Amino acid sequence: MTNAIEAMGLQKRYGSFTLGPLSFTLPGGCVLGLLGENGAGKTTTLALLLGAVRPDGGTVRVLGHDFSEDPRRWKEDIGVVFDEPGLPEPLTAGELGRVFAGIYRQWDAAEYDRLLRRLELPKDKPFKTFSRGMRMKLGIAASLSHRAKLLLLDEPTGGLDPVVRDEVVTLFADFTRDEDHAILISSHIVSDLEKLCDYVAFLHKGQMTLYSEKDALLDEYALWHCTAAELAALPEEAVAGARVTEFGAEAAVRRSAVPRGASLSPVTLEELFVLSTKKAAAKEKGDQK
Amino acid sequence: MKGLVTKDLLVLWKTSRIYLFLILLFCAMGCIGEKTSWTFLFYPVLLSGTLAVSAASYDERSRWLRYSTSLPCTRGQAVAAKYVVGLVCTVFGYAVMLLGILAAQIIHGRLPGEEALILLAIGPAVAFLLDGVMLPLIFWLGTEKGRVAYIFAIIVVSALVGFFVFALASPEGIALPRAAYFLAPLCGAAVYGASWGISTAIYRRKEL
Repeated sequence: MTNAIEAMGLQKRYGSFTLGPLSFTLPGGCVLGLLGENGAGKTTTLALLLGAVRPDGGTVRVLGHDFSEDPRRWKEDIGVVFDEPGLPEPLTAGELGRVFAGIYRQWDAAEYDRLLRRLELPKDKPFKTFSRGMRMKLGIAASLSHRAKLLLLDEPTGGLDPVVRDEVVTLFADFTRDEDHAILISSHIVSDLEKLCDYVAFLHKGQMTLYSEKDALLDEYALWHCTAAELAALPEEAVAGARVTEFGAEAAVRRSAVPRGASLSPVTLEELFVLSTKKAAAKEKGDQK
Repeated sequence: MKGLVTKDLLVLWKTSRIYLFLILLFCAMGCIGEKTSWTFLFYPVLLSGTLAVSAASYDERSRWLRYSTSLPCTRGQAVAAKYVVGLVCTVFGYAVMLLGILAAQIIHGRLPGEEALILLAIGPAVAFLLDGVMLPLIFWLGTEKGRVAYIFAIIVVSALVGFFVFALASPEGIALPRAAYFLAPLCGAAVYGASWGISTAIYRRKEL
């Protein structure tokens, strides 16, 4: 199975902000979750993968293609949902179907109609009258109706109520049942990523602070409630992040590094992300001093 | 590219019906009125010519430009779609103008003659010129920043049209050789073609 995405030293500079260098791969048939706070560089990463912006360094291959190649050769196989879908406001879902039929050679009108029905989207109402949830659902329906092999999703579940979010996550899970299909998804909603992802990458101020297989990561790390002194005794690289208060410490730590008999509880992806991001921010402040 | 053109034409059909009304209104005013009212027949082709710029504005407002980076289309095709839409709209405006000239002939029982020649030659030339100037600016600066340039271009082109139309139509005005009337639309088309190339070069380098 080939890699859906291969990024090597990918870099982009905007004034004082530098994204990367980022190196990661998304194996075919897998889901990679990109987690990061606002402005961490998630959207810029997607823009680089799509060739919408030119990198200042590094290389990227998407479905085996370099983005300098003719996009008609490789974008046919990619479905994209942005945080704002970006579909023409005056057009109805039915009219958008006609537009996409003229753009994608592999457009599947029957599948599009089926998804519109499944997501309860009207075919005859203009996009501008849609709620945020309906807009996202239409963007998702369009991305799944041209037999894409790779989905690039930028906050696709943002603004959706929990029931719709669950439905959408199920759609993505169905999509990855085919072993040729892969997804790169960026989101703030860690619970969605926890359900979907095989791999996770944490972005903080343009830097990838962690990239790992999700299950291995959750096996490797645990949450340790300890004293500040016990925490200080651990080597720094064994601590993904910690919250220290006057009552003690709560730390995401490597299971193998803690003393035998220590009481550990499973760590969630959200805890790991929050604690490691705080550690990276504190380290930055320390470096600046 | 077929899909991109379809999208623009559908968006224009749904959002620019007021333009259609104005085009028909000016056409009616041009063919029913007497004396200098024939100059109203310029407006169908001028207004139609600006519709490609309106389509670009809607793209920006809908954030379509970012979405289009995900589509299996080249930047060249994205630019070509706007120029094809501009061409379709100009041809539509030209057809309306022709109908207006024919209606004027039927209503007033005479051929507008020299006036018709000016309309048929200068009308499309000006429409091509307007789009030819505006579209590269829109692709370069976007519709917000390009708006000032757009208004400036409209004023300059309108002033030029006014000058040429009255200078050519009045008996003591400029007497152009017949060949100039045939060359005018060709020059407009050449500007349009060059503009297409410039827009493509600009858009290929643009970060979206």
